[in-house]
Amino acid sequence: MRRKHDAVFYGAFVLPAVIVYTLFMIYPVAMSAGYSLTEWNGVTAKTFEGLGNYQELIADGDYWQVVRNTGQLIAYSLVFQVGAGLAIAYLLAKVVRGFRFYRSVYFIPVIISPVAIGLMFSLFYNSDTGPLNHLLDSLGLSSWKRQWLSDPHTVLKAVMAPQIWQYIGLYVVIFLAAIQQVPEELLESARMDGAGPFRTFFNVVMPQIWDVFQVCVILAVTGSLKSFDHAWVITSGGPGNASSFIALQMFKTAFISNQIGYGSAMTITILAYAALFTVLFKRICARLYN
Amino acid sequence: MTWLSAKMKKSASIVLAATLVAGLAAGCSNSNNDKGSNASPSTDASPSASSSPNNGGDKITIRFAYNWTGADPKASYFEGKLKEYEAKHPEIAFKFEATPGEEHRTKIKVDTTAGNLPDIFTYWLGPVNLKPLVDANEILDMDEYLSKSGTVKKEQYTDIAWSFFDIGGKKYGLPLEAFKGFFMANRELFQKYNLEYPKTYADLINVAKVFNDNGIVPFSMGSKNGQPSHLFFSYLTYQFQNGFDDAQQIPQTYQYDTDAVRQAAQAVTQMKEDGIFPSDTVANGDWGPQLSLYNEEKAAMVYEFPWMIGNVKPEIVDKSDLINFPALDGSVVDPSSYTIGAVAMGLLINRKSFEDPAKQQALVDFADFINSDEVLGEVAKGGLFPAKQMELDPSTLSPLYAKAMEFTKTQNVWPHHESYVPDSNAYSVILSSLDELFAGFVSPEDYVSKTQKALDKAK
Repeated sequence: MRRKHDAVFYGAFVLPAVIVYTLFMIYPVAMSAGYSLTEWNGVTAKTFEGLGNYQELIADGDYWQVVRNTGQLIAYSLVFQVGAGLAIAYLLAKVVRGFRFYRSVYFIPVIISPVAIGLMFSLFYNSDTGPLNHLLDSLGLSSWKRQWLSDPHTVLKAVMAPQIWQYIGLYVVIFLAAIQQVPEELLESARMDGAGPFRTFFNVVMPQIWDVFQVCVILAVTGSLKSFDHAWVITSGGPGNASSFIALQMFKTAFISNQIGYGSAMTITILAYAALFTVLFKRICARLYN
Repeated sequence: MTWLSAKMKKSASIVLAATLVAGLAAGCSNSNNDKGSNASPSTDASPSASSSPNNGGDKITIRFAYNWTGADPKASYFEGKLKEYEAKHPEIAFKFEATPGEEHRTKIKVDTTAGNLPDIFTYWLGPVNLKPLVDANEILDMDEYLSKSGTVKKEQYTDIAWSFFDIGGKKYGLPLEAFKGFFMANRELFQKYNLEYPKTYADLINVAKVFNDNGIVPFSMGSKNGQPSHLFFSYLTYQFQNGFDDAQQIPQTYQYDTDAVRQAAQAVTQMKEDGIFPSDTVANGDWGPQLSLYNEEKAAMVYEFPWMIGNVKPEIVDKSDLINFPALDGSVVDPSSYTIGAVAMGLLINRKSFEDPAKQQALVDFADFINSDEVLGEVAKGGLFPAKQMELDPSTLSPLYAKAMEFTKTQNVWPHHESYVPDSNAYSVILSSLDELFAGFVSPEDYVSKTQKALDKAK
């Protein structure tokens, strides 16, 4: 009887969240999955296509180009957001004077609108009027000058750089909070045993923040899979698809080309990549941990 | 005690759940009754943001979506008139949904997909934009509106203006904003370097060399999502044999791969190699950055359109002459004989809203107001070329507006390719491929092949 009462009590608290989650997450995803099986321009009647959109995706060179671009973004995010964020947080945890100042400085870009950051960088990169090429000139590095957004070798990296830079601070703050929770006794005993900073980091700190590290990796990967704003503002994903990512391509397909069904299929692939990565990553981590 | 505690928990949980669910339901209910308030992703328009009356009592609600807002020079004139109209009609609860620039197109598409189309809205022309709305029976045949209107008559617009909204013989939009392109040159920069305005491509190369040697971009042209390059590309195409005729045939032939398009693509590549454009056409793409180079006197020439007139600095207007673009090698049409122009925007009415007896008269009156000489004349101060045939008071217009009107008045006005390409996916491929062409990512052959494939797919 008591259990039943408890179940009702707890259920009552959970129910609103379940309703909201179902309405705003499960239902739209289910609708997208449904749309992905249709040919639909968003206005006229849908035509059931079965898996036709997915078959078309497999043969679509543009789609695979944006998948490769997104893969690069994920790799750079893991190295420069999670990796650099962790390193900076570890160093920052040792700072005694000015700790709060540095923490704030690293976090400030995170709270700026991605659109503002994108606009700022598009001006920065402008090879005719922007400061970047002028800076290279003044440093005697004129041979490094490029048409940053019109050069096939630089445009993707130029678009990735601001979004990677912007969110480093987020990981710094998360890792910093985790590192500060590492018991001082452990660090003290490591020091007494003669462990240097590297050994302390890998053998004492990392095992203690392992769960947080996993969360950050998942955040970086899923965040990259959803990447949209910076590329949209700086290049609109162009020229062609040179700086486009899956989420941006999905938007252009669904809402500019009026191919809602095909765009929905792209949405489902983003969901599938995110889910697949999370499951595999958690399994690998669990195996590593064991 | 245990029993009491359990009972209290049960009661508390029921009350809590009921409250939260009721709140959620109330939230949903409100949004249904007041569809326009939360449904739109766009910025709620400034005119009504503070003064919109509540949607209570017998008031009817009219949702009007438009894009003459934000940094658009027409915004202050247009939104000022909207405010006046709103104040004069307290019996109507207006919801003005303003979304700047191209984002307005996305807003309307999203609203359409969500079954939440505004009652009345401005929109672009041509089958690529209108056909999906017509196929879904979402928008009104304008003859129905004209039969109810007290002031707006079919004869007030040219047949060409109506033709941009013609789908299957019916007209689905009221022509609102027309446009004509014009080339400007900075007279002082040309004088400073003892240069004449170029008349041939050879002249253009010589001019470009001098300007480039002095750190000035000869001709400001960018391409980001095909803006504004697609208009310039159409202009170039029409210099070549059958360029304009071929474009007009696209709705029937779906043939974009023509000799004229190939020659124009070749010309773009050549101009890029000859240093005529900015080195980074993506960074200088879109309307603002392209004009910015010219406004800052970092570019000597620019291709502009009426909607940018209000953004040209007055001191730059004084230094500018309107010129003809030089004839390209192999061209057969005199480039001074035509300009790119069409109707840029029209006013569309939601068919279901119009068929609502409670809303019909209010919609007719509001559409009449938008198309009145009073409103169009006022908005012309911000650079609007009215599609309606009407007299404008020259004393109220900006000097550049007057210059552009005068310069282009004898030229043939030829619509750009967007007016003829019948499929939105194909046109978006053309736009993104233009970015590649101007950036030098693709060869002229690849550009033509890629765009033609998109049209073949749309057949």
